[in-house]
Amino acid sequence: MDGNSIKDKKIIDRTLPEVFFSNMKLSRLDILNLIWMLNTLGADYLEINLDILKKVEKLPPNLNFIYRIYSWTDLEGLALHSFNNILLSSDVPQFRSILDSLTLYQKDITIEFRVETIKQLDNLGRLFEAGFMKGVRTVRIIGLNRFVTNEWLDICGRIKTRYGVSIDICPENRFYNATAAAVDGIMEAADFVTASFTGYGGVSGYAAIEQVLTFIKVILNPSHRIQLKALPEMSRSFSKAAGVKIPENMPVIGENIFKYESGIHADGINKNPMTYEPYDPQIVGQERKLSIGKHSGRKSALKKLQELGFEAENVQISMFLKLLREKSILLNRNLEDNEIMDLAKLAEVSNVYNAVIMNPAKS
Amino acid sequence: MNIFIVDTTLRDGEQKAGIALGINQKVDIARILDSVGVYQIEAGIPVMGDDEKQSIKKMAALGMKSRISAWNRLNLGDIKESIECGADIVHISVPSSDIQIRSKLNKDRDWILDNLKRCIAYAQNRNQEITIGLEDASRADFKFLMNIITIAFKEGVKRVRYADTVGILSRRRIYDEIRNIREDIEIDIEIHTHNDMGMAVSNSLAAAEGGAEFVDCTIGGIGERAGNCNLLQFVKAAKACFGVFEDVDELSLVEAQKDILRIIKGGRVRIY
Repeated sequence: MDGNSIKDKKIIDRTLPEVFFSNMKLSRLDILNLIWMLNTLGADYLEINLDILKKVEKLPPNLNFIYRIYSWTDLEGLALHSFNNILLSSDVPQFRSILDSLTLYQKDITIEFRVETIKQLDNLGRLFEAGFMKGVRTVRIIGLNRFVTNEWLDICGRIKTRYGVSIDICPENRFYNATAAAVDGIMEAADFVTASFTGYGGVSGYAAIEQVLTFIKVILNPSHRIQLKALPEMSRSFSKAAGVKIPENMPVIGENIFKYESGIHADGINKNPMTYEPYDPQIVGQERKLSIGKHSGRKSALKKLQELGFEAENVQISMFLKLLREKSILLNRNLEDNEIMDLAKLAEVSNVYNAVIMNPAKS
Repeated sequence: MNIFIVDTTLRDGEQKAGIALGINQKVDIARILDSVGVYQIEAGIPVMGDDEKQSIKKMAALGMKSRISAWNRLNLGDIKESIECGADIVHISVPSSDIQIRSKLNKDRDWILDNLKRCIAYAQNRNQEITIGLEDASRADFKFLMNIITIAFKEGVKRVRYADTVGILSRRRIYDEIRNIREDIEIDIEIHTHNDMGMAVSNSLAAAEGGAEFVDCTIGGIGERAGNCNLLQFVKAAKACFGVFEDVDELSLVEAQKDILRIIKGGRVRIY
């Protein structure tokens, strides 16, 4: 798949309604901050609902929004902002009547359907054939929890071709497949992919937009407009808004994912970081960090000691590594700088020499 | 579909920066893993030192149902240490991408193939069962991968590990590659994924569907960077998507995970 066809794919972000659902005390400024950051990161469209619209009062111009309708009363929002894109779930009460009414607005309409089996996907085609989808520009397929290989995408491709409709996929994460399904969609038949920050929201979460954007940027199309350097700031804003702490090993945004210790990895990274990194940490606004502990090898130990002001020839490195392993196991973790310095002093050649001279039996 | 779990908590998991286990801790974790029925426990890297060797020897002597394996570089010295530990399986990791071969080792592909043969012969002459790891396979030239696999197979190796060392795979790609390998050579395939893009579980599922019967996992998905394929998540997903592991009690796995994470970090490891 070439970079140009990837550029034609659009990413829809649904973080805002999910966060607002769990925290209605979000301020107008918090919401606007999230809107701008998600757009900067690379979201092409942002999903909005009436509650959010009323809170911010006025949406930033020149950004693309998709307005979600849950009931008749939400049509009020169409008078408050000129949305080009409207989203309606097929589960909504009086769905058919609301859809008929929406077609009068001459907007791009997306209808959301839940799909968990191939049969349900095939049934979508029947709705088109029966004429129930007049005026619908895009079909959003939500769910896809149990699909592993891509038969479902082949069917999506046929629906697109046969009925001239766009496909938006919104995979759910009940069985940890959401990001993979979103990535598959981008590489195959989907025109849009819907995700949320960290996959937040819903019953079992969605594709994590930061993972999807990173895959696009790093693997598929490095020249894409996606800007990932703002991820640390986005993570902080999101954590504050949603009231959740991001796990330290969370893909792409975890604060410790570029911490390394093992001697083999440290040696490889020292020679060429690409040996053990999928991408430069700076792409996602992070730095790699060398940790010293049980798994440290000779070279990273020496590097650290030099950093702390010790001359290599003054430290008996084998002894230092032995002490390091013992201390690390005792503490059940890696060591801090002051602890490393204490061990280095014990392993200094002069001290080892004195220990041998003073206690030849013990040595 | 058959899926055998290879747990690498005590090797790749322990490599996560900041984790440091003692002999008794490792043995306790191995007992828990054995109790939940993992097929194989990758116990560590013997060449790391005496503590590591002692822990592997103790595990190997316990007579557990889980098979004990030791990880090695493509290096006779490493393999010698592993054999001395009494591990059931010696795993030899073969750098397979040009980045690894050139940048890390400053060697070339011919050197890799020559040493592969030497290491296999050394282990087999000592009646040691071995598996071959294709390190950084997802960034390797596929033809070279097949070259390595073909040599290993001809030398009598029964299983190779496809390692997505830096976590860049997608589902479609790993499914296709595993299928292609299996179509050419009837060798058992083990999949080892990393979670850098949040797809370790998914990629492992796709590999299994493509024909990989052995899947590497860790408790809590702990491991280098964003970690490895999370054992509990994989079992849950494989049950739902493929109908396997019907006799596995998820609650026992949840308890095992809690117990092991408690040993590793007093329960303070926070996982994704």
